[in-house]
Formats: sequence, C-alpha cells, structure tokens
Amino acid sequence: MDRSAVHNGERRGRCFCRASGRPRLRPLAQLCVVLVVVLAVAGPAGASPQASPSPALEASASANPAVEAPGDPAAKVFAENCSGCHGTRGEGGVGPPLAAAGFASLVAPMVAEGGIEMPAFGEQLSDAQIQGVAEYVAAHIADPASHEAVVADGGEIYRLYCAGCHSTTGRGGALTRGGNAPDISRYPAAEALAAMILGGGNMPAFAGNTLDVRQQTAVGLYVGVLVDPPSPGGRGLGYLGPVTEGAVSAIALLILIFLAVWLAWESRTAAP
Amino acid sequence: MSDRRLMRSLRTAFGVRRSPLRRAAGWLDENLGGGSRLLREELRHVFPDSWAFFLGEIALYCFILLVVTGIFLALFFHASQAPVVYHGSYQPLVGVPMSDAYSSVLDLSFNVRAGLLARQVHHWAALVFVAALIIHLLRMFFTGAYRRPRRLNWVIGLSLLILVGFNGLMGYSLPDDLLSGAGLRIAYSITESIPLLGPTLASLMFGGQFPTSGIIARIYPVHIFLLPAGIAGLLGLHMGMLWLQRHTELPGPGRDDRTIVGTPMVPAYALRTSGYLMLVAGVLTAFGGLLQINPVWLYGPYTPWDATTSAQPDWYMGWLEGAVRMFPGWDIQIGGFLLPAVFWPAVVLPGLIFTPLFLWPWLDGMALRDGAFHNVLTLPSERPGRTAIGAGFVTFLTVLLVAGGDDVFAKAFGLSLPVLLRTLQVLFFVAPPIVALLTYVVFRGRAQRWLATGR
Amino acid sequence: MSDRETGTHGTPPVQGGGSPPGWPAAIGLLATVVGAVGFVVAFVTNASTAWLGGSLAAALLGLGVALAYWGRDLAGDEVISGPYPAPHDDVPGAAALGGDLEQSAHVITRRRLLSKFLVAGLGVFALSQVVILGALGPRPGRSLFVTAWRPRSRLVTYDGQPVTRDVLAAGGTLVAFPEGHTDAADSQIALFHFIGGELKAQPGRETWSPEGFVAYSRICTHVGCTVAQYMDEAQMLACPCHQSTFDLLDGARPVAGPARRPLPQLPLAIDPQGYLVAQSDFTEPVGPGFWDAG
Repeated sequence: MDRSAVHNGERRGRCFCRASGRPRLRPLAQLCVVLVVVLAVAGPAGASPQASPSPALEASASANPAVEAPGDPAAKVFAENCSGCHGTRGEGGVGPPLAAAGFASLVAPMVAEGGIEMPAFGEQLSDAQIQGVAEYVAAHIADPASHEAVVADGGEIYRLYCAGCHSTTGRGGALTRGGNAPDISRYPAAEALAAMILGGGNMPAFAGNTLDVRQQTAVGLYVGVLVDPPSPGGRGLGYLGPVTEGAVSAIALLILIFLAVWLAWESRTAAP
Repeated sequence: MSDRRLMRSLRTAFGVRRSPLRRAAGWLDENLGGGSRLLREELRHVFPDSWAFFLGEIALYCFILLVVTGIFLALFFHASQAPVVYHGSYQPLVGVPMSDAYSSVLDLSFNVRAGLLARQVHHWAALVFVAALIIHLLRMFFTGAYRRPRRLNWVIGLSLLILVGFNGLMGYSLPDDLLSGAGLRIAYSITESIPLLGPTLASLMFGGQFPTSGIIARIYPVHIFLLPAGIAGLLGLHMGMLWLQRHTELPGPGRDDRTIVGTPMVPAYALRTSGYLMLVAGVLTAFGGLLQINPVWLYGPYTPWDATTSAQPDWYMGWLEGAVRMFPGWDIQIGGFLLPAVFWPAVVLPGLIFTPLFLWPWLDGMALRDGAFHNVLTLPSERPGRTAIGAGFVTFLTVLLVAGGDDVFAKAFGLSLPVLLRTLQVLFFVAPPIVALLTYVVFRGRAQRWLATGR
Repeated sequence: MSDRETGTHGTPPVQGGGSPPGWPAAIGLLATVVGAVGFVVAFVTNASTAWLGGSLAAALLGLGVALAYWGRDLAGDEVISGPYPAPHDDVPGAAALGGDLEQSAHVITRRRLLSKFLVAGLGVFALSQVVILGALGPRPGRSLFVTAWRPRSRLVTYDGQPVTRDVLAAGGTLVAFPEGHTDAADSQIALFHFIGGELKAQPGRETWSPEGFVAYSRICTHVGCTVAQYMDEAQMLACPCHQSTFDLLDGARPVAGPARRPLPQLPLAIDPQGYLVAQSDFTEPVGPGFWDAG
C-alpha cells in the first residue's frame, strides 16, 4: 500500500496539519501509556483481598469499669490533659460529657487530631500515650452501656435521623433555606458524636432521652466508617451520588468520541 | 493480484484443496439457498465515513456490554424483597434487616469474584449508553438525517431512547437501596397524580399501596427480558433499515442523493468497527474497574422511614427531577377532586417534550415544504433555523438537568440553594430563546458566507 | 465546504511507502496478551476490582487498538461509490403492491356486513383482555385514606419503646409509630416539643398539641419522600428530595419548595400513665395528593 497516496498533505480541521506525515505518538497511544501508568499506580493501591472491606473495630482493652490500676499512667494523662474541659470523671464542662466514649477507636483519633474546638494532642502526646488514654477513657470514664454499641445499629439510626441532612455518605448537603449541613467525614467521628449530643444552630440535639448512650455510641461508630468509607470499587468520586457519576460518564463519552475522531482521521472518504 | 493467480494455478496444479474461506463460502451458498451473490454484494456495502457516524455504534456496543454484564449479574441477583438479616462480610450492615435483593447485591459486590467489576461496568455502560443515544440523536437532528426516507427510522430511534431510559430506571432500582427506593416512591406518587385513574394505575403497577413487597420481583422480568427484547427488536429494525437504505453521507465531491461514496464494509470498515467495539468495552471496563459507582452499601437498604440528601436519579432522569423541583405547588381543585401540581412537570411535560420530537421529521418537512428523498446530509450551518431550534431545546433540557442536581451544585460550588433555584427558574424561560437567537445569528452568518464563498 | 484538496498546500506527500508500521498493532496485541494473562492471575488470586478491571481493560483496549489501527490505515486505501436505493418513490412498484394487497383482501372485504362483524368481534375481544390488568393489584379503595393510627394508639420509637412526656426534654425530634406497627410506612410521624408557646394555634386543633407536643406525618405531601431534614433553630422540617420546607410552628404549612398542602397533623393526647397517645387517625390522607383526595 502506498502511503503517499494517503498522506497527501491535506488540511484537516483547524488544529492539525498533516504536513509531514511523520509518525508521532498518536492520541490513542498516549491514552494507552496513561492507562498503563495509572494501572501501575492503582493496582498496588487497590490490590487487597475482596473479602472484608470493613474497618477494624476494637473493643476497649479493659472491660471492667470499676477497677483502675493504681498509678495508671493513662489516668495521669487524662487528669492532666482532659479533665480540665471534660471534668474529672468525664461528666463534661467546657467540653462535652464522655459517657458515649466507650470505644478507644472513637477516642484516639479525636485526641490525636482534635476537632473544631478541641485542640489536637498529637504533638504533645506520644502514640502510645494517646492509645493508652483512649483505652482508659473507654474502659473507666465512659458509661458501661456504651460498650454494647454495635456499628450496624448505628447505621440504622444514622439513616433514620442523620442522613436526611448529612447524606448517607456523611458528606453533608445544602439546606433548603441556604447554608449547608456540614460534611461530617472531615473530622474524627467523635466530633460528630459530640455535635449530635449537644446540638447547636439548626442541628437538633439527640440527648439521652431521644437516643440512649448505647445508641449514641453506635452512631459514633458508624460515623467512623463514613470518615474513611470502604471503596472496593475504586476511586470514590466524592461520594455525592449520581450527579458526579453522570458528569464522569460524560468524560467517558468524550473519550469515546475522541477515539472515533481518531478512527476516522485517516479516511480519505471522510468529508472535509 | 498476480500473487493470487499464481497461488491458484499452483494449487490446481498440485491438487491442493480449497482454502477454508472458500470452503466456507461454498457451504454458505448451499445452505442459504444460493444467496452468495447477495452476500458478495454486501461485502462491498458502502459506508460513508465520518467520526460522527460512529456515535450510534457507541450506543450499540454499550448495549452489547450491558447484555453481557447483565447476564453475569442475573446469575447472582435475587429479585425478592423477602426480609433477611445480613450476615455477610460487610461489617457495618451485619445484623441489619434488609431485602433479599439488597443482600444479594452486597454479596455480588463483596463476595462474588468480578461481581463488583460486573456491577460497575454495567452501571457505567448504562450511563454512557443513554449519553451516546442522545448525542447520536442530536447528530441526526443537526444534520437532517431524519428526512425522507428515514422518518420511520427516526421514530424507531426515539422509541429506543425511551425504552432504554425506562430500562435504566428499572435497573438502578433493582438493588432496593435507599436512593433508588426513594425514586420508586416518587414514581408511585407521580402515577398517583394522574387524574381519575392515577391511584388505581399506581396500585396496579406496584401491586398495592406503596411500599409493596412485590415491586422488585415485578421490575425484574421487565428489566432483564421484556425491555431488552423490545430494544433488541427495534434495534434490529433500526439497523436493518439503515442497511437497506444505506447510511446518509456528508456533502462532498462525488456525492449526491443518488450516489453514495465511502469505504467498503470488508475489510476496512469491519476491522475498524470491531476495533471500536473493543475500545468501547475497554474504556468502560477501565471505568468499571477503577472508578467506584453506586456504592449501595453506603446508601443502606431501602426503608420507607429513612431518607438521604443529595438524592438524585441517574443523570438521564435528571431533567424530570429538575422539572419536579422547579414547578411550584399549583394544585388544582376541581369540585371535590384534586389535580396535584406534580402532574404537570412529571406527566405532561415529558409528553410536551417527546411529541414534537417524534413529529419533527414531518414538522420540518412541512415548514421547509420539502418532502423529497434526501440521502445527503445538510450541515448545521446550512440550516441556521433548525440549528437554532435545536440549540434552544438543548439549553432547555440542560437547565432542567442542572435543576435536578441543584442541591449538589449548591453544596459543591458554595451557592445558596434557594438563590440557585430562583436563578434556574428564571433561566428556564430566558435561556433557551436567548441561546436560540444567538445560534441563529451566528449560523446565519456562516451560512451566508458559505453560500457566497463555498467554504 | 471546500472541495478536497490534494497535496496543494506546498507540503510534500509522505514517502514512507509500503505497509504501515505494525508496531502500534503489535503493542496493542501484546497488551491484549498481558492483560488477558493478568486478568486470569487477578481472578485466581482474588485481587481487587482495580486489578481485575485494569487487566481486562488493557486486554480489550489492546485488541481494540490493533484492530482499529489496522482498519484505520486501510480506510484510506479504497474509496468506492455506489447507488443509493432509488431516491424517489417507486410509484409503479408501490401501486402494484397495493393492488395485490387489495385483491388478496377482497376475499374478506367483499362480504361487507361480515367484515364489520369481524372488526367488531376482534375489537371487543381485544378490549376484553384489558381486564387481565386487574390481576396486577388491588383497587386502592380506602387504603389511601387510613393509616395504622387508632384512638389511644401509643406512640413508640423505631425499636418499640413507648414515648413518654420527658422524651424531648432537651429539645430535638423523635420518629414515632403506632404501637405494634413499627413497620407501617404510612403511619410514621415526627414528634416535636415546643414549650415556650411558640406554636401558633390552628383553628379546630386546639386540643391536638398537649403540653406543646406536636406530631406531623413524615410523608411529604409533594411526591411522598420522607421529610427528614429538621432545622432546629428555624423550626422547619424540610424534604431532601425536592426541598419542600414546612413551618413546624404553623401547622407544618409549606413555606418553600413545590409542596402545596401542609403535613397532616396527628391529634395527640397524654394518657394517665404519662405516655403519648394518638386521639385518632389523621383527619386527612397522608402523603401526596391524588384525584379522590380533594
């Protein structure tokens, strides 16, 4: 086949001039290179057993709330750092009460990263200290009923009371008279738990008569799932639902149209 | 050619058997009652060439991908709302009561190998399918491909779009999750709003007062069999007519209404279109593998007392959602009876949109007094009026689409939702005529230049 | 549009000659093989969706690139033309067909009365089959006008706990159902407690809000979504679906959004043991409007 008959220096469109006809990296080949690179990066990131995408939910280390080891260093950390705001027995004060803090997995991220008004202790306390005080709070400060919380119950309560404003994915949403229900996945779950118990502004309070301690803790555990939701299907695309998915599908269509343009590019029978 | 003659004489000389393809041709001819002459002509079937003619193929190959992934999914999905308590591998839902359907989708997502891949490819393909159909329809519209003798094919194509849209709606409702379950409630209420027969129709469709325990089982055969069979049948007609009538061609040298210029089907076109099938499948598989879509485990099972914000249907129903959000509560009391406001945006408006679309070939023919056969397309610049009307129509649908996601856009771009809604309500009236007018002015200028200078 | 120009832009045509370079197709086919093997490995080792999808996509794209590239380079080779099917009506042919059809149908159409009976019979038969649709579901009857609330039904939460007068002492809201019917979707209510006298009196409903407790149906009167967005400060209840907003202090009448009718209010009472109970069912249909609801 004589390619000179095909590459005859025709002008195509406004952006390309098929003057030289020399081989250059075609857009499709570029796409392949990009895909290979993406796969090389995404593969190891995504390669994990399919079986259990759920987060590890630790129970508190010591289940007996009454017995405290004398000279427990964690108790000391609590007394020095936490009791000023949360009270000597976690009854609250400037900071919220800690009755629903029955899981170290709820407490530790909050202590380390802080919340909206709570300072972060990640700098001044070591990881071991943070974990220690978290387990201490869960075991000795929190209400014992809090230990019975189950994350699945929390999910049911969350979808009943919370998802209407904060969405099932916790990303928040616009409110009908202006303003937003906030994205609760941006902070440690305990922040959302405290806000839920105390209320404030348009956020109603879900205190002990509406939801008991066990239910409150369960919601906290579920929010913990939403803070870092399992995404076995790949990139999460913002967790805003079908709107984003529709926009991304438009990108897929554009890629396919681009490929069609490439396919018809060489054709002599394509109209100018 | 001389190579072949040489080989043929060599074969005859040495008594070698015919090549496999030649033997196949002989077999076909025997079994098809002598149709080989027709087949031979069709090997040289002429396909005019343009990237714009591949858009229908995107849709076709999405359909094939949907059927293939759909068959896989159908082997695992339980179309039953029988209550089960989940005890699978997704911890945050263990112990939660849900329907068997939702539980089977969780199993597909977490426990079936390639299950989540199949689900996601299926869903991405559905979204791209409708998008491709709409782009394909717009290409037909803006190039006048709907004119005689292709008016019936236009109607068939539009019917395909409607069937595909409905099938998608049913498809994403099958998992019985919170988001799609809310959509079913809305569908029920919209049906209820029809005067006189509404409540009865809704009860017949759903098998009782919402929520019913049989709606998923009822949707299932429609989604996996009835509508796909209808789509496949219409598609066969659509492509059969395309084959018989030949594809339209863009204007150019050597082309007129009697002469078609293009590429023969074999080998160039067949190779390219099969390659394109693989490319479409490949792109959608990449999306399905790398980009998460419809994470139903986060939405939770549908229960009638739960709700979520950022609640939209899949994008191709967004125009209907936007119309329902924007239309005010203008209920009408007629004596002792109520005509709910939602009847107008949800039932009447789709009729108002699709009826002129269906009738467009005839409306266009009457307006231009042109009932002749046309095989050569007219470019958008040659028909500025048609292009302007199309542009206005697209703008109209885009405003509705944006309104359908107004709370998500408000949150994503930091806008006040009531202000955005009011703006869109104004744009609904103002934007389409402005865009149409601008388009007309721009294209009329180009058309005049084209007529004058030929470029 | 301009005529196709052939090499008139002052640039020399390519002197590559011969068949196109095969390396893009070769790379594509290599990707196909690698992708296919990778897919098998990913499947057997239960790798993530990303690996499964990525390898399969590589295989498909590789094959696609190879085939498309081949075909694309061949596309320029051969330009053929042919005739469109006759662009005008085949008038004699259509007339002949019409004549044939008429002749064949004459067997029936010449018996005028009998033909009319045939049409009528077919029509009646076809219409009669429409009745089968009635098997699909029940007539709505009164079902849209009643819920599970009865006089003295106790309010219970989603997990069956009866609701007492101290339940909303710290404010907030509660979702409640009739006792024994926590699965009754049409009966769900949202309970509020307004103690400062903010509740505006609704004519004819003076006894419906004992001690400031007020309960509204949670089914939106627009298209039936669950009205779940409680805005504490504004004392509004809004629907996440289409943003209908209801004023809780004024009989849940809509103040924004596409809803028209207020949320139906459940008449409440407090029984001697201190539990919240309903006085009766709702006095209007809950949920969206429909023809007979007027």
